[in-house]
Amino acid sequence: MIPDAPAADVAVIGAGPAGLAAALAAADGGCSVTLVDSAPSVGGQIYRQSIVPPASTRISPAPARINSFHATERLAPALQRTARHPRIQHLATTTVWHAAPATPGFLLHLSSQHEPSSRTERGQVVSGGAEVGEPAPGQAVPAVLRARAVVVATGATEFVLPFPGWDLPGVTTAGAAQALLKSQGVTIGKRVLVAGSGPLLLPVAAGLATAGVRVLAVLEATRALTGLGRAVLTRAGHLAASPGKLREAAGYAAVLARHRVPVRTGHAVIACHGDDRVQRATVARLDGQWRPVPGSRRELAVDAVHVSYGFSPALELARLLGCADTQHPARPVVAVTHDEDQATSVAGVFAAGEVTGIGGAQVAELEGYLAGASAARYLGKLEPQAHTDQAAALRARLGRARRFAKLLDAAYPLRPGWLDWPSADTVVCRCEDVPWASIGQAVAAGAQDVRAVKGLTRCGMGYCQGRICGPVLQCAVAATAGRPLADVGDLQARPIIAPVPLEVIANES
Amino acid sequence: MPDDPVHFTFDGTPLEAPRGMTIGGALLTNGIVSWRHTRSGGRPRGIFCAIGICFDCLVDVAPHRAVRACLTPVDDGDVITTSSSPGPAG
Repeated sequence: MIPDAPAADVAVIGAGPAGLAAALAAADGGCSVTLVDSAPSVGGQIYRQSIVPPASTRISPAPARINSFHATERLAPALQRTARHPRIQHLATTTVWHAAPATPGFLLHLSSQHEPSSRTERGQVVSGGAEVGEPAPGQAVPAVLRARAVVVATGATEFVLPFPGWDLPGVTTAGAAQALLKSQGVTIGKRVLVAGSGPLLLPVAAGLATAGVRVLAVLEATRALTGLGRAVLTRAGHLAASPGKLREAAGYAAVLARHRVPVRTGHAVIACHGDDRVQRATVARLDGQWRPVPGSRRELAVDAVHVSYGFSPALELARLLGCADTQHPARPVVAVTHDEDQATSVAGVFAAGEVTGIGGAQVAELEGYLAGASAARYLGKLEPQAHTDQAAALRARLGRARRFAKLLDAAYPLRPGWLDWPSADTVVCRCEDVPWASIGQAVAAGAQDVRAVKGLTRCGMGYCQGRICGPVLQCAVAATAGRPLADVGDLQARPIIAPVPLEVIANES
Repeated sequence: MPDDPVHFTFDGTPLEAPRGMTIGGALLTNGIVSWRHTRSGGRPRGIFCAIGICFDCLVDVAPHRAVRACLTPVDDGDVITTSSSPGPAG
């Protein structure tokens, strides 16, 4: 069974803060590490690198501080060491599309052919290789990689609630606006709204305003909040742990104030209108349950709307490897279960970062170091005492970081009033054009979980494999069927976890 | 527009964009926000997630069909067209 597949002691999947830290810790612990990531350069979504030289962007690039609220600055200097580490091999623009246990360890099936391979340095080994053996930098990515231990650091996907017109061009995720700005200096609209719920809205709006976009308002659906700083300030006991984050939030607020961008809590975009792109947005005041307050609707002329209601962990790889997980009681968040060493329920598989629950970059980085060190100890490369010492220091910092993350999670609760926003013909599944009404009809016809509803409606059967509509579907089915989120399941279990051309599969056999 | 832009066409119209951009960035920079219609509803699609997750932004760039505009770098001489494909090859 592919006996000659290239081998690494540890495969780290995902090169955001968690994966980078895990790769470093495992390599420092004496392991050969292969770091696999779908992007051309490391950093993940949070430390997104510019792909366009600054001089060639139309607008000045986003300042370094304009980042997610969870992040502190640019890629931490400590993490930049991954590029030079002799025991870390980085496979860029490479996706794991299948994984399975294979004694010893695991076999990871890789694809670097999602997009045309001839156009750029796709799927190349960009660094490392000196001690790992083949493949060396510049060579093609192997089809299969054997690893004795795996660190799952696959991050999270943005969660967007549906409303009429949410699929019009010009309506994007808030993360999309940020990614385009940070990587290419591109903005979509000139008169925009930033709407949704959560700490991401402020930095996205601040970044756009700084880039010259007229941000009409930031609409935060949570009502009892007058800015993140206020939400955090109400529980001052936790503040000492994270003064840096407060300064960061204050920085965004100052940028927004300078550009006269109002932050309206208890408001949402509940509809978008236009022919071939968004031209107008309906804004409404919300009650405490996020139901639109009668008489509060008004229409604004816009040319882009950027929306985010939080994040859902990207669990496909963890599920495929058989890792146990737990459902968040109130959000479409399923988190990989782990012990205090970041070990999952599967021996040899460790998890770090957003896949263990949405905690932000600081939690991710600390969990990454711990997961990497634990993988090195698991393989007998790192002495138990050395691991114990490292782990103790990391756990103390992790405790503080996780308390702050819990506070944030509690500050932005998801309320059920959004179920009133879509109309019968609002598309839920953007790939398959599945209308909102069909979800309720499927439940009424007897479908009591997301897989049954998917089977009846095709919701989640399109190109994105339910990554966008899956969390929405889970919430909608749970609400309609009157069942807990945990009981209706989700769409994250699948045998092939990334779309691959048939030739990739054919070439393996 | 900066020195040394990339030259390409979209549905026959010659356009240019800064070198290094993705096709999605290059089209947005030219004020173009959609380049596909859904197969059953015929609804316009462009950039939604911008990070390769949603597949809304599929576009044809000869000789390839249905590549993600948000991930694929734009290149000199690219012939980009509104996607006629029902979906990614395979």
